Amino acid sequence: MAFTDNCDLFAAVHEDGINQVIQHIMRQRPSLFNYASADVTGNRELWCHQIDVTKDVSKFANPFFTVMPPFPVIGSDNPLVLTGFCAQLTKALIDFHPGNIINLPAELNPPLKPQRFSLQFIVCGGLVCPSERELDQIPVGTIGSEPFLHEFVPLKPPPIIVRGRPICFCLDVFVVGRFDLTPNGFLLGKVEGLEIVDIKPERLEANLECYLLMSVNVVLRQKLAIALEALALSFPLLNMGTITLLPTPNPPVPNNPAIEEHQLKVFITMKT
Amino acid sequence: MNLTFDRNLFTQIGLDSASLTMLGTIVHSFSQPGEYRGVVHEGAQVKAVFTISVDKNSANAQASVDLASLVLGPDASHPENCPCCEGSSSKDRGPRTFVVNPRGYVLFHVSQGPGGYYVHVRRTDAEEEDKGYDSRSLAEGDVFTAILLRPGAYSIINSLTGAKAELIVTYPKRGERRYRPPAPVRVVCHKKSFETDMLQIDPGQGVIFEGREYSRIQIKLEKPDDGPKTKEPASPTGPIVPHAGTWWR
Amino acid sequence: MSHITIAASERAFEQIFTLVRDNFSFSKGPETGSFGPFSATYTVAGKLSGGTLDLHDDGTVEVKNLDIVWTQLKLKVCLDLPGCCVGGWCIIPDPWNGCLVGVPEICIGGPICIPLDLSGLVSEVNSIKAHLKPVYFIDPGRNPAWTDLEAEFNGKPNKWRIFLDPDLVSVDPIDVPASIGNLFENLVENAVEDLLPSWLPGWAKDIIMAALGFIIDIVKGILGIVDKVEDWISDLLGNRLDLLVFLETAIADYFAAQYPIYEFEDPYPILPASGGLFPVKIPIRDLKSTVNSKEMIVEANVGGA
Repeated sequence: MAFTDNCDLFAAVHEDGINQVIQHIMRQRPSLFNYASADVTGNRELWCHQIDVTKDVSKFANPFFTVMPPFPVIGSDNPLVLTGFCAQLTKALIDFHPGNIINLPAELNPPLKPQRFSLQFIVCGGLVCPSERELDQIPVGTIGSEPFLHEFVPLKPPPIIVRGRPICFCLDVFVVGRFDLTPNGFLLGKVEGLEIVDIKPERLEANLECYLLMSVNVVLRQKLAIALEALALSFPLLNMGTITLLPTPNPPVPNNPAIEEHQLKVFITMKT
Repeated sequence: MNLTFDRNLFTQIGLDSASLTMLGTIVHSFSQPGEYRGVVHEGAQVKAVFTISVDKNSANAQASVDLASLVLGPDASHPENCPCCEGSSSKDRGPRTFVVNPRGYVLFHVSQGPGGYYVHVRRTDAEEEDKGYDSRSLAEGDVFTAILLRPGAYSIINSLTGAKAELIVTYPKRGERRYRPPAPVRVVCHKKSFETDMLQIDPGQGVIFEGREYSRIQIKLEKPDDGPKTKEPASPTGPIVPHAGTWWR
Repeated sequence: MSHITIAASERAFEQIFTLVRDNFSFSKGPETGSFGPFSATYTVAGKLSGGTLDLHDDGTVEVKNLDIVWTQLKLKVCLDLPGCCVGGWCIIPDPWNGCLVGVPEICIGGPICIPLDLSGLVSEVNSIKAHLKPVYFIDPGRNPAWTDLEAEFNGKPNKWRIFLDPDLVSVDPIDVPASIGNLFENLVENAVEDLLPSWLPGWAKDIIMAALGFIIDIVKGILGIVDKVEDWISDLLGNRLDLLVFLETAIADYFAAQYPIYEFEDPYPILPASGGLFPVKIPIRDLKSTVNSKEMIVEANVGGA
């Protein structure tokens, strides 16, 4: 049976290959997987997890982290008090149907369903917890007002960022999803379920899961949508302006893209 | 080598027995033995002299007198007074002498150049009233040979008797076989007429006029023939039209 | 199992082949060959078109009915015409000395050249049988001290290339139409007529050319044309001037080493550069390519991090 029995162009990538690719991306574009406030990024001692990168990252001064603004401390306003944080994805693994790499938690209804992928990753993070001495730096009482024209207006002092060391923790996160082929030729992962193991109370777990679900979906959409051209290693057929390429319809191909036999497969039909 | 022939072959059209060119010759027989003095004239000018020795002891049945050679010298490229040069035309050497048997004949012809010559030959010991032989008036028994190349319609006139004839020279046809003109035609010049007064010949085919009366044969082109009006177009040299190949399905 | 598998149906492979085919062109000349009594100079240029493709289970790709379009095929045959004399016909023969009165002889001869423009002719590549051959290309301009990223920034990345490596290229003899034979004879006449001086009137040329009626035979004799002129031209171009060998070599070299049917960078860029971030590139290893009667298959592995 030929790969192209029902199509003109077939491209497939094995889960082992994607896992290798994930490793390459993590080492070459660490800022996709590591987020922190500026006070944390500038001090290796404060990172929750040391980051393994290629020499080129330092050589070409690519950042290890994506710098994010610190969190505001509730109750502070004049001045605003902020605290830093660190969030890192330290491990990522993908498994295609029939799953054999990742043991899904019960909440995600194993075994992995047909045409589905599963993801396992470890998220490590922590909020900066300032020392008592840091807190003593915060001015007592509200800072007064100053004259402006004929009125007194409240002063707006700059925010205070309290310093400290993050209290790091790590979570195991499991994701189940599928792939869609977008009209503009991208393979987009769509998350159908996400589970963080063992967080209590459950509502806290649900909140975190919701936040992570949003985050994963955004990253998949914005950063990790796979161009079909990249999946097929820029096969020349994809660049020919004289022919039209379309995803092979159903019938004859029931699932396109398909996740089966530990591979992600795409089927393309050529119209001349 | 590229090309060797005399331009005059193709630029002189028409013939006159009284003005010999490359395409006209006269054959005359001197039946009386003796020494003859000949003069080559071009119009009123004397261009050369020669002698003919008619000797009954001579074995020569013919003498060929090239009038151009006499006028220009046997080798016009050699300078005068060059005794070491073979065939040089040194004046000190005297006129050329041709020897022939009285039962033979002398051929007067022009091998090169524009020609336009006639000859006057007279016995060196002739009486005063003997005017000798003037080729401007062909005698009985003389033969005038005309070679016509230019295709067209000609008129033939014996200006001494008024006899007339017409002659057509056909246009040559190129073909696979090499063109060769047929054998010459013979025309007898009677007193008032030509025996055969309507002739058609191919280019280069000779016409031999046999004199029965004093004659001066003049052949004049009346209507040239420049060949078919619509000749085949010049062979194409541009790209040929490609035949259909096998195209992509 | 390989990490990456790409397959293209025979129909899709044909489309890729058209890219390769349409990019091919050749040109040569002016070149001259000497063949004793004559020489031949040619200038040629052309391209490929058409063709049908078959994939076989033995791993071969067979291309048939591929046309060679000669966008330029100019040939000039030059020879030295020996002195040919016409005329000298005898009017009054002389029994003793041959000819008493005759038509003066005209002799012509000298170098003549016969130009032939066969541009537009179409001949055929009988067959091309090829295997797919992957080649790892390292740009000779790449500094050995460069990293892969530096090589990319300097425009000299390494590449994987897959060529259609011909085992056999066979080009059919150039089929010269019969009309060219007639044209050639006319051109010979024109060339000989060009030897005649320009002042010669047309009727005089016609007389001389009629008398030279045999001149075509003389030229054919010098050139060694025994049978049809078009067959001789075909043999001159194809075999004696070695155009067939030149073409077969040019086509084979082109497919085998100059224009790959498939090419991509290694490491392969999976995420583009953006906002000051360099591109993310993944190494591709163990590239294999095969064909069977249904499809072309390319397999490769992602190298370790």
